[in-house]
Parts: sequence; structure tokens; C-alpha cells
Amino acid sequence: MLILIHSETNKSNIQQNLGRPEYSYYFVLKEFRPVLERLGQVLEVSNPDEQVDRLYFDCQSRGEACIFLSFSPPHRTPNHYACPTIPVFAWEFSTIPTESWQGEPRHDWRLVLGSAGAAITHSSFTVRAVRDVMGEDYPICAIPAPVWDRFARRGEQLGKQPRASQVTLNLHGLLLDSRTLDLNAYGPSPLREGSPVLFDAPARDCQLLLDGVVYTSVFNPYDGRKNWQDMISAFCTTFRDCADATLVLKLTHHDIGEALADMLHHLYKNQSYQCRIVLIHGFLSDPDYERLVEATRYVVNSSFGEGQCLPLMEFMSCGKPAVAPCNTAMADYIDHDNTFIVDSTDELTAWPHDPRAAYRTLRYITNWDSLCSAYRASYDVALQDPERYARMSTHAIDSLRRFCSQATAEQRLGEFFRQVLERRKAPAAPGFPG
Amino acid sequence: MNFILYSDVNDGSISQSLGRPEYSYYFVLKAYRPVLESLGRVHVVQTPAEVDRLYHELRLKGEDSLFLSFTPPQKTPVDLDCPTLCVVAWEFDSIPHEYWDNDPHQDWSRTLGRHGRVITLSSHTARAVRRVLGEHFPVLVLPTPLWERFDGVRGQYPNVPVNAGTTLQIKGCIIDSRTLGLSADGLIAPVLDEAPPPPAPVEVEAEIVEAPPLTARRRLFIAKHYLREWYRALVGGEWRRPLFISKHYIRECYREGLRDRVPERLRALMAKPGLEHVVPAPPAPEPEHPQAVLPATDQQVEFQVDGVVYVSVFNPDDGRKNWHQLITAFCWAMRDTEDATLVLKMTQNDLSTYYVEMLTLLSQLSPFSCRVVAMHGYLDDEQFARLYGAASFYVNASRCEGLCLPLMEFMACGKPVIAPLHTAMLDYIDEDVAFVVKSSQEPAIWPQDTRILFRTLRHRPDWGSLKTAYQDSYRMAKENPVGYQSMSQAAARRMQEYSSFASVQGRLRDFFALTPLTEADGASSLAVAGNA
Repeated sequence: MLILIHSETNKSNIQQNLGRPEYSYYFVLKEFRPVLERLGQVLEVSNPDEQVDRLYFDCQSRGEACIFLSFSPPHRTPNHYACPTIPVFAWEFSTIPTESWQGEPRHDWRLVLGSAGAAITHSSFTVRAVRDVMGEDYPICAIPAPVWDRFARRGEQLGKQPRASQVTLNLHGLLLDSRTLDLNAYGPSPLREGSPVLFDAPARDCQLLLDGVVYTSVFNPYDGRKNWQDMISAFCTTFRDCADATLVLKLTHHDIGEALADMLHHLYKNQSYQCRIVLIHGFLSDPDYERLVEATRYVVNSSFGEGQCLPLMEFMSCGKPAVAPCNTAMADYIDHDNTFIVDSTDELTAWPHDPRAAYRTLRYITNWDSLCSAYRASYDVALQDPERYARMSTHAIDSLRRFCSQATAEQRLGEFFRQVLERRKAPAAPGFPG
Repeated sequence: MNFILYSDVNDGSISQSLGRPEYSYYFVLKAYRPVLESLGRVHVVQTPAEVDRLYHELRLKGEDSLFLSFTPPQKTPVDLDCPTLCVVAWEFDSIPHEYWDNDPHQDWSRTLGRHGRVITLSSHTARAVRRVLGEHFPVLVLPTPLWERFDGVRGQYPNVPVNAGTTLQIKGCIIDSRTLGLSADGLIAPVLDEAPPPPAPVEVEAEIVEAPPLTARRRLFIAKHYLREWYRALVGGEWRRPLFISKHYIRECYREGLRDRVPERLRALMAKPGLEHVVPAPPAPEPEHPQAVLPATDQQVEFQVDGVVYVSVFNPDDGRKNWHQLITAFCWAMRDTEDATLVLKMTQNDLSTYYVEMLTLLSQLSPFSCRVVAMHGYLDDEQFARLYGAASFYVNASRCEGLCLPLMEFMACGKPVIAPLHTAMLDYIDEDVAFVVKSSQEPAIWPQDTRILFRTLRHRPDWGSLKTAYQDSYRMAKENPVGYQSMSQAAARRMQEYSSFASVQGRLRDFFALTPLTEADGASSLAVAGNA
């Protein structure tokens, strides 16, 4: 079988697209690739319109099966190829788009999903949302990006102490530390004092020394769902008098100047606190990334919803328990035995790419008090209950193995492809026009 | 006893102060006045500078005086001879206990400490004061008396959960979702105009950025990438189609790394006919969205409401009111329910401050079967009485409240409510009288703190819980009239206990150890806070 794969962001433009809405599809594609290679010959195509059907007909002439996986949301997935096309997409809202706008019929996902006849997403939450619209028997499968194997291997070599002790890591980029910054430079303009950091200064080699109970989160600060405001304010409130707690925020975006100004303003507003907040932006070599994971006691997420959340999955695969809400995709791998769960509640919102901002779906708003309680409880466990910490760590690895190991993905993908190709062979199967 | 009263908002300046933080002080002064008159003589001064002169005159006659300052503590003097108390309307869980801008007056603990006692509108504020000034600091919690003002409404409008039809009138205008022809598609210009609608916060999808310029290094990088992929494909055991795979990677390498170096004519020959994209010319820029034309606001407007009627009264400029959620939760909960109506009485003179925002919000929510009507303008007592009478429920979804007069007024009319259980509402809301909306806390600043530091907390109402409260209350109205009646009676009883003239007079008398001059007495105009 030939498996064609494509994402709009690819190796040659990833650096510029880092943090943009579609960029994470490339990372997902990369994670799927080794598993797909066990199931067939994989070809990455850069221009599907030109290549997909040509390759498909070529396969057909040799009697070989061929399938095209478009790592993109349905409205950016072509629906006119002869080749069986399966969108692989992430989604974190309670409903899928069922309206079109600006003259693009594909904005109504029913059209694309209907003509594709099958789809892959990453969570049972999204499978539910799709089936609510497409019917209970619509062929859609929840297959998260299989990151577990790579990270679990790393995790085995890391220490499992509940506190970090003098872990040093090197970073090429920008490092901002609440302990050394003059936060008065980020107050309201009439009261501003001191000189702010220049965000566009060239990347420098920096060294970060981590100690104590370290919480880490990796996210794109422009992604409004990430809710870093609550993440920071609840941390500062909970650990106002606790010098031993550190929150490391690793920011992923090619141009973070504006976001940093906003985040530093929040660090100013939350004053004063004994705990430490560290913002890092830049490249960490693999060994340094491992040092960060090693130093981390808990991985933090306070999002309004996740399509899967690769960083959370990666840290948990390494045996790091989480502070996170149990909604959307996270409900598939989070439970009370691996996470200090943050409560959340529904809120009406718009599909993120709908320019009308029409209220049509739900997102999941953080309960701030509950986030504070989760920080407090997790800190107490780190310091006072090493056995529980170790149990949570082991359980995190097990849960994520079940959720996103390569073996799980291979088994599900293999089964799914078989189904899709069989249905396609069956004449006049519903949902497979043409 | 003489009560000397001062508010920096008065009858003359109130119209300019509507919606400002200090405006509620004016209503509180007006509401307290009859009770104070029942216990002593009331003098209203125009400036705090008059206080001591009056105090000394009265003292010469052997009479005691108290100065009640209906202004925020940072604007209240601490150096008067006359005994002084602040009346504090406050909705946060802490009072300012530090100062900024080199102004020690900003530290309320200093001012209130000097005065030695204080009047607050809620127990929540009393706790905030005592947290700083000690558990035994003398605080009088004094709600405004309003129960008797609604005797007439209670007599005239029996409480029914489902309204059979009431005609409401207002001098101004209404925004009625049923007559506006709302559509979410109307929020964007037609096809191909990429501009987002101006008032709505929209995450517009960013275009994929093109790869960086093709330097020699980059060409090498691309070539290496595809060579590596090619190699991987070949050693990966797939020997069945080596030629096919090789062609693929050579083509990729050419496309991304070399094509621009190949002369145009040769490129055209190499490209298969029919595969070149025709790039359409960019569309001509659409004209700006036309300026909204505001409806006339000097008309007598009349409209009918019926079914299950929810009412809320607020100033849309008041950030505490959380009115977007109040509306979105209603429209989502009732999107298939024709006989549910949300009536919003806006206490804001200037329609232009919220008109576009309201229309945008309703368009974003459309289509929905339920109805939303915003009333803009002035209601006389009779018209206000009809609004109270028309309501099945009152709704509050605020982040924090110093008292919330409209909520209390509708309860005094026997209306069950939807409201969160926090701040001032802790004094009079519970499950007997309300569908309680859950909430969590969130950091907040003291509004007058120019440093904008998080020093206090406010509340974050739970949208899901608000939506459920609408659904539960609607179900009760339709299916459980007995339950509705008992809630209605409980709401009225609660306000009788909490805000009757006698109970407020009693609190005041006990605090100052005074003897009343006159007995409890009814009062004048309706709806002190509801008009704009």
C-alpha cells in the first residue's frame, strides 16, 4: 500500500509557521510517519493537487492500494481527488462546523467528511462531535500522535525525585527570570520605571539553573486557548510565600515580542511573590530539553480545550504527572491517578476560523480556584508524599502508553485502513460517492 | 441626633455621573434618608467644608451630630471635629490597605481606622473591613430600605410564572431581536472580503507563510532533505518501485530548490499543460462597514411581552455586569424556545455606547427562537411597575456587587431570581429564592489603584451553570406553578426581612443607640436605580 501524506506546513516553512494555526499539523505528521511506514510505503507530497491523483493512478495501474492522508482540518482538505482522501485533524470544540461562509462550501465540514467518507482525529471527544453530525456509523477513528515510545525511553533514564536539585540547562535564545527582572519596567505607562528587555535582541547562550518544585508548560503564547493568564496568576497567588516553587514557560512562536510584553505585564500585575517564573524562548538541544524534563515535577495545562496537546502527552509519557483539566482530548488520558485535575465549565464560543464569530459551539473555561487548589495539592505531594508522586508518575507512563504508543497507533491505523479500503471496494457503499 | 449627609454626586450632577462608580452613592443617600429622618434631623451639605461649621452651631445648642459621608473613603476627610463615618459601597474581598501615588488617603484602613467605625451595604464588605481592621471593628451593615416602596406593585400584579401578555412602554427606543432580521452572515462582507467584522474579537486564520528566500545554503538544505528521504525510502525495503520513488523525490527537489533557477521558457515546457495555477487578481477593496444609524430615542414605544419573561436591569458600561454571558447563556439555553423572552432595561443615557455591540452580539447568536428586547430610555413609575409585574424571573450574572438594588427590587415584587451566590448577594440569595449560579474567583485590581496590581478577588460566574439555571427556571415556570409560587413568596419574604423600613431602622438605631422619632413608614418613587 502506498500512503501519501501532506501538511501545509512542512520542513521547509516550519520555522516561519511556528505557532500559526496549522503548524502543529506538521508535528503530528512527523509523529505518525514511523508508524505509517510499518503499514505501507510512505510518500510525503508537497503539492497534492499535482501529485496525489497521478500517484494514485500509477498505483491503480499496478493493482496496488493507495491512500492519501491530508494532515489538515477538513475545510483545508481537498475533496475532489480520485484517490481516497482521509483528513487527519485536531479539534477541541463541542460541535464541528456545519455552516459555510465566504463562498467556501468546505467550511461546512459535513461536505468534506461526507465526500472523504472517513476521517482520523485524535480524541474520542472529537469522534463524538463528528458522529453527532455525521451519524453513529460514520467511519472516524481517534488516533493520537504516537509520541509515547520516544518520550518513555527518555523518561526511563531520568531521575524521579519529587524535587529538582541544581539542574542546569543551556539555551540559545531568550531567558527571562522573575527573580532577576525589573518588573516595574512593565507596569502601566505613567508609572513605568527601569528599562525593559529588548525582545528582538539576537539570541544569546543562556544558562538556567533549576531547583525545588518545578512546574513546566510548553505553549504558543498567541494561542488564546492556552489561558496562560490563569496559569500565571493562580501560580503567583498559590505560591506567594513559597520560594521553592518555579514555573517554567517554554514559548513556541517565531515572533514572541508582543506576547512577551503582555506576559511580563502580567508578571508585574501579580506582584509580589516569592515563587519564581521563568520564560524561555529559543532552541533547546535534545540533551537540554531532557534536562528540562528531568527538572520538571509537574507539567501544567490550563487550556480552554485541546485537540490532543503534544507537550502534555510528551511530559506525561516521561512520567511527569500533570496539573490539567479533564476535558476535550485530555479526558482520554487524564485521570485522578496521574493528574491534579482542574475543574472547568462550558462557555459559548465561535468556531476558531469562522470570521463571523458566530456563537455555535462550546469551549471549557478554567475554574481559577480549582487551579490554585491543584497547584497547592501537587506541591504538597511533591514535598510530603514521595510514594504517591512515584505512583502518579508510573500511572502517567501507563496511561499515555495506552493512549499514544506506536503499537496502539499501528494497530488502530491498520484496522482503520482495512475498513476504509473494504468499504471503498463495496459498490455503492453509503458515504462514498464516486 | 443630627445627621449631616454629603455625597459628591447630587440631584444636579447625577445625570453626568450615571454609570460612574460614585453614582450608586447618590441612590444610597436618597434611600437612607427617610430612615435617618425617623431617628433624627437630616442636613445635606454641598461640600465637606460646611460640616464643622454646622457641627459647632448645633453643639452650641447642645445637640449631637454625626457626619455620614456618602463618598469613597479616599475622598472623605479624617480631620474634622464632627464625628465622621463613611458609607462604603464595595464589591471586592479586600479594602485598600496600602497607598500609591504618594497619597496616604488611598489607604482606606487608615481613614476608617481614624473614624473608628463604618457603615457598609453588605456583610461581605464588613468582612473585608474587619479583615484589615480587626474582628471587633464596629461595622454597621445597612442595606437600603425598599420593601414598602413595592406595596403597590405587589398589590397590582399577582405573580404568575407564565405571562399571558403585558404591554410595556418606554420613552426612548427598543432593540428587539424579533424585528431586526438578524443573521450571523451579515457580520461579514460578501464572498472574498477577508476583513473581519470590526467589533467582534475574531481569531482570523493566518495564511501559511511562504518559505524564506532561496539562498544557496537553503537550496543545499532542501536538496539534502529530499536526498535523505529518497535514501530512506530506498533502504526502507521498498524495492518494488525504485524508479517511481526516485522520480518523486527528484521532482520534489526540483520544485522547491531549483525551479526558480530554470529559465522560464524551459519551465513552461517542463510543466504539464493545464496544471499551472491562474492566480485571480485580488478583489477591489470593499467599502468600510457603513456607520450604524442609531434609532430615534425620543419616541414613546410600546411592545407586548408574554410567556416566560426574564428581566435584567444594568448599565452596559459597567464591567462587573457580565452582560454578554447573561445574553449568550439565555440564547443558547432557549434557542428552540419561542415563548421565552429576555428583557434588558439599560441604565445608560448614550445609546451609541452599546448599540453596535448589542446588535453584533445578537447577530453572532442568531438564529434563535427565543426573544431578546433591550429597552433604552426613561420609564415613569407606572411603566416601571408594569415591567416589575411582567417579569417571571430577574437575572443577575455579575462578577461582583456592592448591593444590587434592581435585584432586590424585583425580589421585593415577589420575583424569583437567577443569581450567583457571592459578594453582597450572600446576604439575601439562597436556593429558596434563587436558581443559584455557580462561580469561581479570579484576581482583580482595586478599581482606583493606578498601579493596576492584583490585590483582590472578584468572581467568575460559571456559564454552564447560568445556562442550566435558565433551563431549570423555565421548566419550573411551565411545569411547577406551585414551586414557582413558593419561591416567589420566599423572595418577597426575604426582602421584607432584609430591607423593610423597620428592619433597617432597627439596625441603625441599635448601632447608634438611638430612639426613633417616628414609626416605620412607606415611601415614594419606585425604582431608584433603574432609570437613566
